[in-house]
Amino acid sequence: MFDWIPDSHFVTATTRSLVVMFSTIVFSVGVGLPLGTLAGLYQFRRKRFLLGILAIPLLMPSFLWAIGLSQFQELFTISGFSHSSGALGSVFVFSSLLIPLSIYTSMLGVKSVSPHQIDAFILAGSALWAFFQVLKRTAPITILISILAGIMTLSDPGPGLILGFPSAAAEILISFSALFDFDLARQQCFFIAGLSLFFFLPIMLFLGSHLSAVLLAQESSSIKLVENSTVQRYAAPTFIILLIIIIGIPLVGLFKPLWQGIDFNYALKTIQRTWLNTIFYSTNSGLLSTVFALTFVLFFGHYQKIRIAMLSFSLLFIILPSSFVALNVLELGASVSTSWDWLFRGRLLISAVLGLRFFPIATLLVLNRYASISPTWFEAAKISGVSKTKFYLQVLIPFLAPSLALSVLVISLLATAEIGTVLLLRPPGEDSFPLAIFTVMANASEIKVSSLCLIYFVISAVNLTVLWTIFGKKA
Amino acid sequence: MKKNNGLEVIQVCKKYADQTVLDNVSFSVKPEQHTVVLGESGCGKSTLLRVVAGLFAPNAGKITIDGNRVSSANQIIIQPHLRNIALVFQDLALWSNLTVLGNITLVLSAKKFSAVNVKKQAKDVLEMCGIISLANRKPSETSGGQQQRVALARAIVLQPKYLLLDEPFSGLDLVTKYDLMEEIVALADKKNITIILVTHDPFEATFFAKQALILSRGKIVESGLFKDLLAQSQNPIMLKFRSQLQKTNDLPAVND
Repeated sequence: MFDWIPDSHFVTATTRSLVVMFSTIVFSVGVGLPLGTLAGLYQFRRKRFLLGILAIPLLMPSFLWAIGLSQFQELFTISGFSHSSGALGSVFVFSSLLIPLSIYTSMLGVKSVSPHQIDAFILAGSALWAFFQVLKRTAPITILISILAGIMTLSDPGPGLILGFPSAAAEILISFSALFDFDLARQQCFFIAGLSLFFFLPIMLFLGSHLSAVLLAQESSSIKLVENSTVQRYAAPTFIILLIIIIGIPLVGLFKPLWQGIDFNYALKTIQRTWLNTIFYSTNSGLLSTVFALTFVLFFGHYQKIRIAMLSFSLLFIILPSSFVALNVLELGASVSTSWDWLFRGRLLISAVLGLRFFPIATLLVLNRYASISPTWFEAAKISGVSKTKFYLQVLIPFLAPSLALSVLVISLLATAEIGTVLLLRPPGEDSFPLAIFTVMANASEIKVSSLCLIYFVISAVNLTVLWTIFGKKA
Repeated sequence: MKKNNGLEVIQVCKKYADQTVLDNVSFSVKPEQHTVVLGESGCGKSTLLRVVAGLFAPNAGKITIDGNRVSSANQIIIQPHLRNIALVFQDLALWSNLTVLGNITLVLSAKKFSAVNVKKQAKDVLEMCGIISLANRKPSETSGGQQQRVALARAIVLQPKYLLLDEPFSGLDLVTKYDLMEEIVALADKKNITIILVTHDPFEATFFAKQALILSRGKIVESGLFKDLLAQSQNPIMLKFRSQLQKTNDLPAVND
């Protein structure tokens, strides 16, 4: 008989994780909402560049940031690295991910306020008053997305393990990777999944349509950016300080051991061993996710209610702990006949699970472009007798192509940073590069770990630069 | 299709959910009798064009074109592209990822012409509409008036008998609008195309219409020859039209 309630030790760990989760949400919204509204509303020097840099933490696994913070604390001999500092450290690491997300979401929220509304606010009161009116309108979506992202911290084991903070996710990881007790891990995963749903469902029930409306806001409603000398003077320095705190500090810690030398040999050997798998997992996840999204959009993109329902429902795949999905897939694999081994014991399974996990993000990216298509496009094709195949191949898919390419790239990068699924589902010896870092970080020397981290950072930075150069102007 | 007997809409009703958009609408349009549909916003004008075009089936009533029944209650009998009808949409519906030429050739390719023939016909129609120089541009790289011409070229390239215009001139400056309207009427007369225009603008109406229909809350409240309605109708829309036209006539003459 499966026992649904875990022991008190795990419940205590969950309570600690919840405290970290709520603190992270409050802190991230507190910083991200005003800065995002500011960036959405005003033009200032180096804005595009600074906002591009801000995306770095989103593309890196959280455990790298935790390693960086941990080594930064050692560098400045910050003492008292106990539970409380571990909790604070976890809040810092998670906030480094959530603050950029809050800023981007607030900017998106500003897009849903029309330029005329903003002009009316400025005419009715001061520029500051207008700023707070816009902030009030962007707050719901920013808070909502921050809560959803906050729920995901419940299932991220990296910072807890590295910073010595016994979080619920760290306990789950220990259960299956150190104790090899899959039943215990499954029980703990169910508990966290239930808790995630407890927070997720009411939010989606009440705010699902609002979420879709803002996330699918059209470019046509993008505002004319306001010039303001005070903002011009202070905005860029404020963003630079933020970047130093959330990116500079972890990076200094991460690369600190490299002053003593770089172990390129070790890094190259690790890359040689893992690059094929890393590319296989990430690219196929990006492709599968985008194909799922395109199929969904072509079939249901027309129907407003279905797309809102589907979008809300598909967010479940992201909210649920990756280990929960992976453990259930393992269970399923064990229960089917060996003729399914090509799927359940192969590398493709990882790509499929990751592709499904990031499907909502791919859907959002594709739907956002699809929603800008006028229904009259379809009517014009119908009245002229253009067949559906011709219309899809010559008009619709080429029109969606930029968002499809963006989706493949973004999902590939996100899938690369995801280690939970790869850790559980990989065939023996088929590690990805980030997983190789994760597995050696406890035993290998700091120089070796830092050398690997440097390579990972450089690859991510190059990818981000490519992404930002191609798509940044539109973003 | 039988010979050109005109278009007949008989007791057509159309509902969206619980809302009746067209309520027992009947009228007929004789060949080359350009018709204007007038009415307040949301009265069902655009829906009427879509029902006639065959994009929606009516919930009741029937539509015949040249003596052939094309739609009846909840049924599209003849598909839109087989009705000899073209529609220029309010937002023009140009496929923005295709070039001007691409917009025309895609429509022609649906007719299974040879590739050479498709290109030739497309170039001919662009020439006729005065936009051949824009053939390789994307619609977004052309002006509002030029986009209107592209939409018109795409509509007439299939040589329709009926051209439905859904407020296509809104947003154009006065000079471009009148140039374009003159060209459309000339083209329609040359090619024996019957125009059905939906508009709010009295001057557009006077330009095109031989016949007028006034729609209010989904019902036709008045119909007849446009000049008769303009002279005699007590409908608020026609009264407004009349007063505006009179104001224009009262303007002092301008020396060139």
